[in-house]
Amino acid sequence: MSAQRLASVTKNGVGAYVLQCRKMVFNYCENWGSNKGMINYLKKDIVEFAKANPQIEVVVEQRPAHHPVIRGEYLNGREKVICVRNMAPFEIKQKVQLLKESSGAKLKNLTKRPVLSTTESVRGIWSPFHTNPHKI
Amino acid sequence: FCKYSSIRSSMITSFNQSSQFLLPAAYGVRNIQTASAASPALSAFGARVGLEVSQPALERAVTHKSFGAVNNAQLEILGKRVAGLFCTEYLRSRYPRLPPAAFDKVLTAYIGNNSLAKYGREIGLQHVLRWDAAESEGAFHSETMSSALNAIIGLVHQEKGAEAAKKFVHAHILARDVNVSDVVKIENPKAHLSRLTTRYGKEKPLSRLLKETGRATNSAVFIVGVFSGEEKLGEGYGNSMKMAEYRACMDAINKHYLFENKDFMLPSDTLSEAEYKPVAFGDTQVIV
Repeated sequence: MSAQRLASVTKNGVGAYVLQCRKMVFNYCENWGSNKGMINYLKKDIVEFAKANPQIEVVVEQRPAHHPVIRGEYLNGREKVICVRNMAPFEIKQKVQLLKESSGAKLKNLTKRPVLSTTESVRGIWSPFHTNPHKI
Repeated sequence: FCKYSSIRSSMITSFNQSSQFLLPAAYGVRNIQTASAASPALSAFGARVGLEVSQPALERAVTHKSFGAVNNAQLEILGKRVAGLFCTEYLRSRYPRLPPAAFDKVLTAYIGNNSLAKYGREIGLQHVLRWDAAESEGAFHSETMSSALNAIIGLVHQEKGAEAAKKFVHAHILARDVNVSDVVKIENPKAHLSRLTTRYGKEKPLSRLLKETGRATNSAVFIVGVFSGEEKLGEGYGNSMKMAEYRACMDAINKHYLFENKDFMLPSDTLSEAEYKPVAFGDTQVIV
């Protein structure tokens, strides 16, 4: 039975495209050695990243006595955290790019199940009514 | 400093990112945002949705009337009608034969409170919305969300003009997908179809059994087509011939009322283009 209220579904990119990453939090520590790359990244590259991505809220916070961490928060309510301890600035840049491009959805194993699609099949689903009867 | 970046450095030692925005529970206030005018979350939201409006104006648009005197009530009134205009003219042109009751359902699916609230949640509006749950007198969160979204549309119209508002509505609201396949509700489809064929001067509808299997079993399948002379109007399946005929008549009716224009001009195109070719309104529904 059809529902009482007709629902509309967003098709991101058909009209406007809304980036799914809404916020990135960079945590660093002044003392621990694993933060060296992160501190360099914050000095050199982060302003460029924030300028290029005005739709992401960039937050930089000190978190003493911890490894450096980047936390991405997404529009589906989930968050992804990547520890960037002992990474060089260019590696941190790659991780930032990874977080930016993610949708926030849980990682699914695409190798097990066949394709899931909301659009109909191109050749149609097989039906016994539309085949010729078996002839020996 | 704050012109193009949403960076905010803080020396907060406790690792609690939400403490900057929400007052502690001891104050007895729930869900009240104390974001300042230069809120990074708000400017990020504006950029995400593609708004090029001033920050204080945007802040006003996302402030519900329960929050304070400076709120989005007036912008909401404007934005609701702006959205209503652009959505109605588009849907009327796209589905010219849709009956009024069905049309209302489709329009609500695009710009109704629940739809707008749902979309607001998908673009992160709940993180920038300013409202006071205690003072909103039982207004549900979806009402505050939809009021903010309507106000944003009104703000775009006010600050950027009709063309910009139209682009915004088409990009965000009308780009969403609504399944119109079972929006037309008819009590007696056979009689309704008979009246329809009479109106268009066609032969009266005749149902024919096209295919069947398992007639004496508990899982029979019948495929029935409803014909007007030699033309097949609709096809339906069922596990009884009556059910299949019903579905066939509904299919024929839907093919008529849910007819979709693919290439059309909108009346509001006259804002930018001089030559306007209006879409022919479809016939009204048949009265049975």
